[in-house]
Amino acid sequence: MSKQKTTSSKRTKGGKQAPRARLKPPPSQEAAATDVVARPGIGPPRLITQPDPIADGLKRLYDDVANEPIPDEFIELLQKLDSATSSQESQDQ
Amino acid sequence: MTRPAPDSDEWFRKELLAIIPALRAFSRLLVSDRNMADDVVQEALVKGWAARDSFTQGTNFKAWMFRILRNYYFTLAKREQRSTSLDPEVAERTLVACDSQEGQIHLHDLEKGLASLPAEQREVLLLFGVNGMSYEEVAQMTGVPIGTVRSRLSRGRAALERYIEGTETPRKTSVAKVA
Repeated sequence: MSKQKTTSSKRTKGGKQAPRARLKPPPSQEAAATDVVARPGIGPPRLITQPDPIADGLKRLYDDVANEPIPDEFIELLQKLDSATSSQESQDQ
Repeated sequence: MTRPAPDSDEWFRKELLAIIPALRAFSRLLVSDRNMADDVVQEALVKGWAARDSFTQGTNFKAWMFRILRNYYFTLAKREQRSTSLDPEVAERTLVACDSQEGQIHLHDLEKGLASLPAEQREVLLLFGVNGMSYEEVAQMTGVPIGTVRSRLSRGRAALERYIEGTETPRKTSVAKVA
């Protein structure tokens, strides 16, 4: 286990560290799945930022979509929404 | 540059525009059907707009919109479930069978593995793991106890790990036995 390698072990993607920072291994539950805290008492689990291919992979999948340009249909939809009053409001009246 | 007043329609429209990339990403991984995913986002935008008066200024707009999107999706999924019965095992078997690639973890595999999970587990993995929400926030958004959030998360992770392992070492025979 790469327990000793703490915070710096997975810093491959330079600019994308900020969102990962909150991905602390949760204290107890996650243990079953990842054995992050298999040896309690060694240190506070939250300091252990071990490589997590699944979390990293999910983040990349997510970012891939988030970085796509917004399709035109969405812009058009927003423009339509902008000019119309809300459907609920018009139904209420 | 003048900024629109925080409670104006113009402000709200700008917020919606800014949140679209995150909504699309969340939806794509939650819904796992490309076309449907964008439809769900569009519907969420319409619903968000219609409900804009109920948004409380100063609260988390992203969480507010994510909740609208996931509520809509799960309503839709429930409706679908009644009309069609997609056996998750069949889906998984098909996915594994057509993925005979050896080697390291591919994002493609991860995406397919994610798609093979129950939507409730996918959701928690995305909200907690990707969006960095806390157990409490996820529990609040999904309307289930924190304990349920935790177990969905750990079960989802375990299943994903198993899935990835399965694609790393091709085990078509064992997959076939599932049938």
